[in-house]
Amino acid sequence: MFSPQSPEAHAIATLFTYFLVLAAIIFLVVAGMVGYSVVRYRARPGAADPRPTFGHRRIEITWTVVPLVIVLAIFVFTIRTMATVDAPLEPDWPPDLVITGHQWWWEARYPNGATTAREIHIPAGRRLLAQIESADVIHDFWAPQLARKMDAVPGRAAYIWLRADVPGTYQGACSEFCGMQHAGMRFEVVAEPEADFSAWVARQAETPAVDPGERLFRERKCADCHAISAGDNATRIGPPLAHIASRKYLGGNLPNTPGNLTRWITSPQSILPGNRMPDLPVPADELQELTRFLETRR
Amino acid sequence: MRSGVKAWLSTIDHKQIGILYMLTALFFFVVGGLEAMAMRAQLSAPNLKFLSPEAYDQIFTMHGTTMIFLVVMPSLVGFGVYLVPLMIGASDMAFPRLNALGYWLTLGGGFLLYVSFLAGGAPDAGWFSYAPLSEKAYSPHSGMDYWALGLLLLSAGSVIAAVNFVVTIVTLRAPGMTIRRLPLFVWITLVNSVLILAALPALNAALVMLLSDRLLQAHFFDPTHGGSPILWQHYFWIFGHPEVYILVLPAFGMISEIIPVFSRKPIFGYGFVAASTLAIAFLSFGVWVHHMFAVALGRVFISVFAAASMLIAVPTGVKIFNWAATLVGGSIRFTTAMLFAVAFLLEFTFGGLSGLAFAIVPIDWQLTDTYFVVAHLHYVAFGGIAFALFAGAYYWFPKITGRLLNESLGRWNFWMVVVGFNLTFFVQHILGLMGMPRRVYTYPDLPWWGVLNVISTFGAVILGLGALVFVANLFASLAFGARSGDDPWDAWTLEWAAASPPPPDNFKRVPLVRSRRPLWDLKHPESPDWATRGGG
Amino acid sequence: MQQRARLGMAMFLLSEAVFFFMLIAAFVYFRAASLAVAAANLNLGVTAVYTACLIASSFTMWRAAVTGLRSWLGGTIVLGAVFLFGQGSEYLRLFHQKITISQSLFGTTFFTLTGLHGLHVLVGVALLAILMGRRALAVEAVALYWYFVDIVWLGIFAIVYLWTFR
Repeated sequence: MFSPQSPEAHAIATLFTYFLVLAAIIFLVVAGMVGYSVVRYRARPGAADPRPTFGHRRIEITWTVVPLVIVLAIFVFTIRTMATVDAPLEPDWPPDLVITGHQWWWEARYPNGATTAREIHIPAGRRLLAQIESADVIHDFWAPQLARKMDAVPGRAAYIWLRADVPGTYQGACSEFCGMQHAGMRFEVVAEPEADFSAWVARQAETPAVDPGERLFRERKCADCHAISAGDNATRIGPPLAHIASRKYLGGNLPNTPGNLTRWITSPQSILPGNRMPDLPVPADELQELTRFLETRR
Repeated sequence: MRSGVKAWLSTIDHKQIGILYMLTALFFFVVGGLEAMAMRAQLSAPNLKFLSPEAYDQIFTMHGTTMIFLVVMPSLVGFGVYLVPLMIGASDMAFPRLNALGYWLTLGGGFLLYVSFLAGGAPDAGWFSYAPLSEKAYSPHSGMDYWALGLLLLSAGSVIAAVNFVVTIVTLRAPGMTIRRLPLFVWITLVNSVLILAALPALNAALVMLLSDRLLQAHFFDPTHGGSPILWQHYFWIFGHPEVYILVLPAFGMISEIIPVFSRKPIFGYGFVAASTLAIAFLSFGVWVHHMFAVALGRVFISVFAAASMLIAVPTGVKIFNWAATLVGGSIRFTTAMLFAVAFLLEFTFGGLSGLAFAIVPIDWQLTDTYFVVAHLHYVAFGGIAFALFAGAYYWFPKITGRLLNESLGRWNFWMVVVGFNLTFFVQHILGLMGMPRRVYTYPDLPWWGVLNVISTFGAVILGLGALVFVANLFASLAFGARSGDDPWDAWTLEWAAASPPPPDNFKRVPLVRSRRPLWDLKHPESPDWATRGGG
Repeated sequence: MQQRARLGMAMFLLSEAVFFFMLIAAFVYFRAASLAVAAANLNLGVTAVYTACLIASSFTMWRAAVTGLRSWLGGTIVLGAVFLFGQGSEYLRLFHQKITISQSLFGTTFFTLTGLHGLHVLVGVALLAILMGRRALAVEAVALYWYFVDIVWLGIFAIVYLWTFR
């Protein structure tokens, strides 16, 4: 949270800094009072009980009213920052991208039909309206350097502003417990210069040329869960693979190399136990062909 | 009191029932602590495989559920049923048989929760079990059903205890003990009991609805048939937020008894402490949505709850100031009980401040559901409630057993717990700020995440050992502790006029009550409270 | 003693009131989605008759508490049983029309709310039966419970039945 890379994240970090200072002061006042008393009023041996005092109305009223005033001030700052940071509840224009939480992966869909998983590209420097939703249980989309977090609730759409001041790769995580692989449900937001982003999203919308390996992909039922053509919006049980070779990570935070891809195909349960893809006993020659084919899906 | 196993199993004496509650809580404290140690072991480095994700999810769910429902609630009820009759000069609770029923329901609930491990798996959707994850489609095994049924039994036990407390306090007070002369522990127990009666039913309704969904294919929380996952959150937190005050208020009551006695002064501002308790009880029903700020509910709606959440900090802060002011001008005796009570003031203030961060909605929009929350909740629940319980144990153990807890072991207990606790949980604030979500069975090897987590685990080991010292102290002192006499602390409330331990009917003769400190008046006939401003 | 029992029962009923409030709130929350099924399948007239029986049973309960006579207690039990019979036959009629707890949001909310209420009436009848058997010290406390169950029904009748047909 302390390296914000968007105006929204900056606003929150600033608010937090003010809060931290205030909290430190309050804590020091209490700790000071207690620390001082503990030393100054330690029982002396043989001392009698001090004369009883039962309270002091005016002091007590003061220490009720002063916190009330402080709280009022905090509330005002809170409301103002909320207005700066938050997107409308029900915007009346279409979102720039739709982000869907699945058990246990993040999907991003763009207006031109491009669909990707885990690695969410955005143009740097521009504020986007992102729709956050869920295909199954409640998830939470959280990219701390860029935006507020937002619960992805099945049956309801929510909206956040998503932007990055400068190009870069920004970490993200699911932030609402969603089952066994909640911990594995991380993502990256990749902010690129406008031209690079346009090229990327155009390419992601294309279906790569047909490959003999694709026949094997369909025969072996991979296509039942994974979309292999870019326009396929129906097959969303597993992440789309039309451009799998262009991504830095496979499931389970595994770097995307041919060796790891092969490992994933045959034993995904050893990498991300509990995820929805079963271990598959694929013969070695088919495995080689499938890996080669998928490596061409850039 | 009758002795022997059969006597204990069939007892309706409030003192024995109180002890049963406390021993049950102690047992589950050890169990919950072991669950925590397992979690910290798994998290001590990135990508460890000590616990599978399934095991981890069951353990973190059971750790939270256990600590709240099987440790803190029974401890507080145990202290309550033991002390309230003594503090008001009565010979037992209003409904002794109901008292016993409440205990056995609590034990039954604990049994149901834990038998789930043998019946296909413990519940694993977190202690607040959000829908639709908790529905049959996503949690097909029966662990969730055991969770719901176990909690229903525990909830029944709490409601029974609350009914009993109200009737006891309203109808069985010694002559002269008006409501305004109640020991703060008793007053707070009374307010807390009404809070229990108003809050637990929301949980019961939610659990009944969840069981209907799971077992009868109803659709309360199932979005694919028009149901609403958000409804579960509302219902759960309408219970859940008052619940955290239900857990902390009796702890406040204990601190309000202990600090004055070891400062040798009456509490500073009894009226404000009593009134702020009522304020907290009322306000606690108006803040629940702060657990849901990250859901898109609309800014105006959320702002109302943000305001209430900030407001509730005020009566809580007032209490801290009142306790701290009690120390000023006092003659402070540092028994182990007092050490824990003073540490409570600092730890709870810290935890309260980190809680205030969450009332500031945009901050919540970054930090909710991260390790910052885990840090906050442990500062208030352990640094606050558990420290108060340790203080209460050291303070009232002599009354219950007739022996003092060993002070040397007490010092070791205290310092190990304080060092271990702060080491474990302070660094978790930083982890949350760095982006570590909560309820993760592992995490990536990002800069500093591994280091901070291993420090936290190291702290947990020290904390665990400190807790073991406490348990050892209990058993050693029970066997070999110095005799305490009726009133080892020179205290002022009625329980210290009974023998240690008290006979079956508690008092041979109940002292006359003319102020908030009846024993002070007896011991200081030349300057009784009722002759000065503090009569009440 | 009676005073303590009455206070205890009142406190317990406070918690029960919150419980039923929450279940009624859930019904209201889903009312819009349930209205069509409710209007097509509920029978206001018949239920009104059984409601009248339950109201009458509060009267007989009051007489029983005041006079201590077993005959009034027996009357309350009979009227309570009639109400339960009415509920049961309504349930059977709905099941016959394929309306179950899982059929729709109406089924979900209706059966949960009225089912739990019916269970409370059943418990009340059982308590009354126990009172018939012994010299009752707690008749006033049980009376409070009975009035409460009756009042909750009036709320349910108004919100589930009357409001549906408004």
